[in-house]
Amino acid sequence: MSDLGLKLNYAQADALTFGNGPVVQPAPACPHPLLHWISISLLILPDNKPPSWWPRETGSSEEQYTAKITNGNKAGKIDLGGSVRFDQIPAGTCQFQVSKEFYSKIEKFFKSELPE
Amino acid sequence: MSSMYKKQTKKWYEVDQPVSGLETDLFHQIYVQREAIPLVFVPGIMGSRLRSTGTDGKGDHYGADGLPNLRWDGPSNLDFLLKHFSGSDGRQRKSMLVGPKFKDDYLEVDNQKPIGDGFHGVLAEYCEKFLNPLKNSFWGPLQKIFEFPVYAVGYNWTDDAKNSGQKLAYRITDIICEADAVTGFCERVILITHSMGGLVARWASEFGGAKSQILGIIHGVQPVTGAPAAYWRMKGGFEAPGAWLKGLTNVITSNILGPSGPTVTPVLGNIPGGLELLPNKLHRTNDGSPRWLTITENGVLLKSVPQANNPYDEIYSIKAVVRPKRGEQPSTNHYWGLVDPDLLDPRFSITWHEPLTTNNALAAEAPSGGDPWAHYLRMLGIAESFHDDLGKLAHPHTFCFHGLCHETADVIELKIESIFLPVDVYQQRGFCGLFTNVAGKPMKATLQPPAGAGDGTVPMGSGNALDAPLGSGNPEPGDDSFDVEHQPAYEDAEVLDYTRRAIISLAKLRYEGKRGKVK
Repeated sequence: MSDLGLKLNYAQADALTFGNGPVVQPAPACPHPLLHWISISLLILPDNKPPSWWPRETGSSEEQYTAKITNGNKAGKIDLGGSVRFDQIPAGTCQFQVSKEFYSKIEKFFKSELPE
Repeated sequence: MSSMYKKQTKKWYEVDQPVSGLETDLFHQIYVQREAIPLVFVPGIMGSRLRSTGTDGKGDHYGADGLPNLRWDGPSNLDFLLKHFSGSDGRQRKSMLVGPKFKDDYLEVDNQKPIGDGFHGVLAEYCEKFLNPLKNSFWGPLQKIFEFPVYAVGYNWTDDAKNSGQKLAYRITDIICEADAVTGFCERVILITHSMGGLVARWASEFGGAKSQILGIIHGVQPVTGAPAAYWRMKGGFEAPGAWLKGLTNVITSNILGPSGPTVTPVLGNIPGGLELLPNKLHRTNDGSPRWLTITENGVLLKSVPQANNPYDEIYSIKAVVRPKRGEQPSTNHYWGLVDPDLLDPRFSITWHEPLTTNNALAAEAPSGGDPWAHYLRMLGIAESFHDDLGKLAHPHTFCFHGLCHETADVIELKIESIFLPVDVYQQRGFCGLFTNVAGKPMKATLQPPAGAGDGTVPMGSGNALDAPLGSGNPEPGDDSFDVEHQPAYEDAEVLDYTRRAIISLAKLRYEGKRGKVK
């Protein structure tokens, strides 16, 4: 419990106290039903100890998604960092789905490189 | 302690499946697990750097045998090649690459420990001009789902390609394990082969147990059914076509590889790997004839072999006696046989006398302990067995390209003429078989310069022997041909682009195997 009246979970408290945890936005706990949030990221799984000559990592791309968030259906693009965040939503569980566009870009590439 | 982060991983082909049960007030991280598809390059003969087994592979470190630890390298190490090969006689070459008698563990690939990407074991030219550009290829959105690490796998090209193929199969398993440890997902590799590497790769696939670990194979300038150039070079040395600077470069190359029969035969005639490049029983000329060795006189065809599709019986196991027996009229010497027995073991040569070198180790070499001809026939038997077993077997997903526009030994012609002046049987980049005709006149049969279509080494008819028939539905980019020379074939920009597209085609095959057909 902090002096600022914010309720932090243990991980956040660790991060603030020791400075060695992930930098996160404090999630204020409030009796107000809409003061909840969710962050969803789509990321390339990092290679595990790749040799020096291994291909370089690639960044995320702006993928389209649909989501069933606790306050309704959403659709859009994740940002260049690979994330999307919804704030001020009711508590609960959500569903997230990457659009088939993820694959259609690849299939377009196949067609452009290998014209019939 | 609870975590604000919840991670889950999805394989690349299930990214569009809905992810449910994501709780609020958490950071959810969905990781896409990409699949590694290693691109494994298998070089051609003389494309792997070899060292004396168990040594450090340094060219300036010498073993107890008085020979350098490094035994073969590419043009980037020109000093080494000039010092140990250019101008060297057959005995020196044989000592470097074969030893007193061929043993499969005499040499090994000069790999680093650990092997890593394997680039150290192959000629630097491959790395600079093909493998590094391949590493930097543009894969577009495929990078979201695949990784293409590039490996090279050298092999002891003096050895039987069966052994090299088996070792390649084991190495493929190791590469897959390594790539799986990095990405968590690797099941298959793509092989890219140059020349003899195609034979090695096909053996790994069809007999080495690697087929299911190979997504597909891209073959470049492969002597599928062999190359008459191997015959030409054992008789007359390595050619040096071209004029001016190109010709000069080729003369240097020829001098390094062996400019005459007596410098080439002691090596190629004593190693299974060399003999496996000879035309096999399935070989056909560019015109479709099985008879690729001819003897002509005044434009008239006097002899053409093999007549029964068996060059082993009809050419290779016939002793080449290159001069007529005194008093025989007509002489019956088969100067056109592949190997002059006197050339096989230059230490005991009776027709090719070279001054002894000051190299004590060479002079002190123990006798091979057997008849060189009998040993040659054993090596030939290994090659024949390899050829018979492999035939035209190939991985089901195979792309091939071959080279054109360079004069290539296709139909070998020995042209009979009268002798007016004394002639050397073994010349620099040439050969003349001597005999006596029915009238008792001395005659010569001169090996004619290569004149067929191909890449300078592999004729078109062998390079395209695995090509899918037209209209068979072979996927893009299909099989193809380019105006490329044999050795530097992969340095060509069009070939690099073709290879890249063939890789994309095989990646598409993998994609469709998981996601269904691309519409």
